[in-house]
Amino acid sequence: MKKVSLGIIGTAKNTGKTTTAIALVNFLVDTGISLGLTSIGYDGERVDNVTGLPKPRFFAPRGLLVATAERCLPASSARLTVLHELNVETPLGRVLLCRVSREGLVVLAGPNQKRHLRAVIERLYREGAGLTIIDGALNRMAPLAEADGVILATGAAYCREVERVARHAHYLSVICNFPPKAHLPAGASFTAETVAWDDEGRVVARTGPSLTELEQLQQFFACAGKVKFFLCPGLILSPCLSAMLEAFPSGVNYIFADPVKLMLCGDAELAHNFIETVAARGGSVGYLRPLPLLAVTVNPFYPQYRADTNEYQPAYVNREELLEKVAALAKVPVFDVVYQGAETLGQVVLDFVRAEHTGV
Amino acid sequence: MKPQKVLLVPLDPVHDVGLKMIRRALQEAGHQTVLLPPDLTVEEVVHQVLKESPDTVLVSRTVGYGVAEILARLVDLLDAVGARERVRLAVGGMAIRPELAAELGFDAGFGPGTTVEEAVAFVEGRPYQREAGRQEKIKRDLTAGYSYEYRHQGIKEKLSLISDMILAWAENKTSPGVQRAILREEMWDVERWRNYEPVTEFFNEYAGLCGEPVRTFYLKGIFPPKTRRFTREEVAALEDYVRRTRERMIVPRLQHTREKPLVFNQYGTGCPFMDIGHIKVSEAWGADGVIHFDPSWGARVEGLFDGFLTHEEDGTLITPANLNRIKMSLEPGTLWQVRAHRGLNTPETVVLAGKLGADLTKINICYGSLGGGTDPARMTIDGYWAIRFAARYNLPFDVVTNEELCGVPAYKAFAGMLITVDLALRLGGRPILQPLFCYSPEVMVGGQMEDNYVEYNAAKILALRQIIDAPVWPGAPIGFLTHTEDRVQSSATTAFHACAAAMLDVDAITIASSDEAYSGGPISAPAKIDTLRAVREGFRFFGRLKLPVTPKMERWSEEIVAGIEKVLARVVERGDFVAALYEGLLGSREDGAYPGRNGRGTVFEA
Repeated sequence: MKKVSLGIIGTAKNTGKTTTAIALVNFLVDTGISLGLTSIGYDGERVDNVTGLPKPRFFAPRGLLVATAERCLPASSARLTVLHELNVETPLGRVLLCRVSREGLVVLAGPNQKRHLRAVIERLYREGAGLTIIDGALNRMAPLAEADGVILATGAAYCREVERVARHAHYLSVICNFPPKAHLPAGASFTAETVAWDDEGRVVARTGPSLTELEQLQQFFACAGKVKFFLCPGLILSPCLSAMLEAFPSGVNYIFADPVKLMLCGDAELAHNFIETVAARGGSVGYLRPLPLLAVTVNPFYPQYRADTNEYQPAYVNREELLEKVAALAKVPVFDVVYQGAETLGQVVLDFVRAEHTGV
Repeated sequence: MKPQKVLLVPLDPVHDVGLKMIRRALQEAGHQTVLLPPDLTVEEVVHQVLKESPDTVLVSRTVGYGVAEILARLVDLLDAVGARERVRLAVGGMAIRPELAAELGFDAGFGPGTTVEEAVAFVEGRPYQREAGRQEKIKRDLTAGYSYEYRHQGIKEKLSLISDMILAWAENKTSPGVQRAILREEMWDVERWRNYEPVTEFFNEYAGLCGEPVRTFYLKGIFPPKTRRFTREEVAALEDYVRRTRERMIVPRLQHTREKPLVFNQYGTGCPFMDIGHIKVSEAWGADGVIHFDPSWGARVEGLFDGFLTHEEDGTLITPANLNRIKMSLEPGTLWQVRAHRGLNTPETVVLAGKLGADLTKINICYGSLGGGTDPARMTIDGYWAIRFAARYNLPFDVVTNEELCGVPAYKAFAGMLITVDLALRLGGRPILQPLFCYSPEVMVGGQMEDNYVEYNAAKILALRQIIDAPVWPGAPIGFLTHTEDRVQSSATTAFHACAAAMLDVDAITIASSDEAYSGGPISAPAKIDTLRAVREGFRFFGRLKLPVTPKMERWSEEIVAGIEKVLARVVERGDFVAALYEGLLGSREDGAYPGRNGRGTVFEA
């Protein structure tokens, strides 16, 4: 049976990634599914590293598999039996794969780069995790391109204007879920380079894997009229996306590595517009490796800075309004797990796991 | 190792000084560095990483809310462009800790207090252990390199005559203190004691040589008031405390670029557990040595107790177990002095200190007699034996001159110090000169410090150096009588005195805590930290600067030397050192010195 990994990405710090992960673990542990848990950041600490405000803590049930750094073990109250030491370094020591042998709080610091996350996921699978949940960190998402699906955590900590939070969730949802899996043009083979082909599959221009400067596109623009297929396997920044939209003709089929590369472009609205405009002009956008967005969770909390006392205090936007507005635009189910519980979100995840298992 | 290419990224708009310091160190180590301008966007930095293909990227940034996301985005973009797996990535700045670095996705995080060496070690992929600091301190012999040759012929000759006098006087004499010391030396086997084997024979004889209340303790097992054994739980808690503290211990150096002076702190709360806490604080804030402050009432009582004991009095009981527990708690590089300069147990204290591994002791017959409350004859015979044992156990000792605090002028106190020094040299000992370095009653009356505290204190050091080539350890503590109840003032004056002493190139200093003069009870740990930090800042401020010699220093030092020679001449003329002590030649009642009465009539023919 295929094993599945699920990442939780956030739009900022304090958007509810860990709260979502905790709620999911608590719900799923009773469904009999074998769970693995790790984090690409540092989670389960008592207070926030920047704001000093209390943080949600991971209470780990017995039997849970966790991958966390050496120096997190003494800080955890759960008893963790070390099963394997991975060759993955973090600022808090090597990542250890452990089983919770007595329930309690755990502090998580796992792999913080993509290739290391892959190794940790594989190891969790080998130890028997049917579903691995990967807690994100801040607004970081690059390593989570390794997951099979993601949940987005957003809310007032990203922006206090609820409409903007909702629009941003909508853009990310489109970036993740609208473009399908893509295939290279017939006869072309994958290289770790940005390549443009003409309609007969001949290479017309090529450059490095990532597009971070407009200059890199000059040779492509010089033969823009011939471009029919365009592959960028690395990162592409928003100025390059806009320039391509202007320079290339209608009907080009764009292929990117995965949705994370577009989410990281620096302007989600622009990436969203790129996808819609290309489609409207008769072209297509697709990914070599899709990463479906299953759901969005929203958090009305934000840390408010008080200049007079030089400290942060908890603050909230209107809970119902946030949930309603994001739900209206997100195109996927939206939850406030603190108020609604994790049952429905858990069902969404279970359906996804089953679909992955059966290949539907 | 192969030279590394390092990209230095000041994401902070202004703060790139740290990176520039690291750049200098990296270049000196042969690495190639590229320092980016301070106002690039995260995207521009990513482009530079792709362009330069460095082995390591060091980012500096002060973290506030919202900044974490910027740093996280940098890490994310580097991962997405495939560079993350090729470069090692670290972030440094205020508020950065390893936990935050993990959250941000860096390989390492360097917060305040990071050394340049730590960053270089990261670049070179070497493990850097701050704990390395604990090995950095190696015990130094304060007497090394000194010839003990006299530079003043007249004083040398007079001291020699006085030593002859003392040696002849001591030849057939003894005291209960000397008898106990010899018994402790001969019959108390430290190895047997460490193995919990009975030392019954020793105790059977020992009890008979003790006075009340020590004899009652040995015969009936009764402690004096306010004294008790530690409980089993307390011992376990102490062991746990020492272990946990040791795991985290880093021992900083206070001296900056200087080799000396070594800095000593004293402890003596009455409770060895609390003492050990104070010692650990002293070590963690840079003290090079600690001084065991014995109880004042112990100075009046014949004999030492036994067991791991605490009492609610100033000063900590000297027992084998108390000393041993304290010794076991010390960091390997910490010098340990056990004082034995006054009271009725001085030679035995030296024996115990020697057997239990102390590094230094403290002996002065004249101060013990005139300021320390011990009968001059008793102090002379006990001091003579204390010196012999110090020589046998290879323990250097300072010769303290705190009778100055009673009002004895420096030249008289120094004459007394030099008598003990010369006697020590005859007996194979290694004495260290300890002039008072403070606002003494002599100068309060005489006005030598009306303008500044420096010149007269400097004159004392210069005077001693004109007389003999010997180590100098001003004390005890420096700055005494300039301290007030104000902790900032006390810390500042301590630091100023420490710096003046350092600029005179002395070998060691003893400093007080900032509440020592006014604590009204055990001193506090924060007050110890106050003065250690202040002294460290002072040493940093002055570096290796020297103090120029002024005409006043020269004149006063000559006066002191002349005064010393005159006092010694009078002692020689008197023909009896012990009588000279009683009669005030080395400090009179008018000066404020009173011959001590503890132990009077206890010296007898051997």
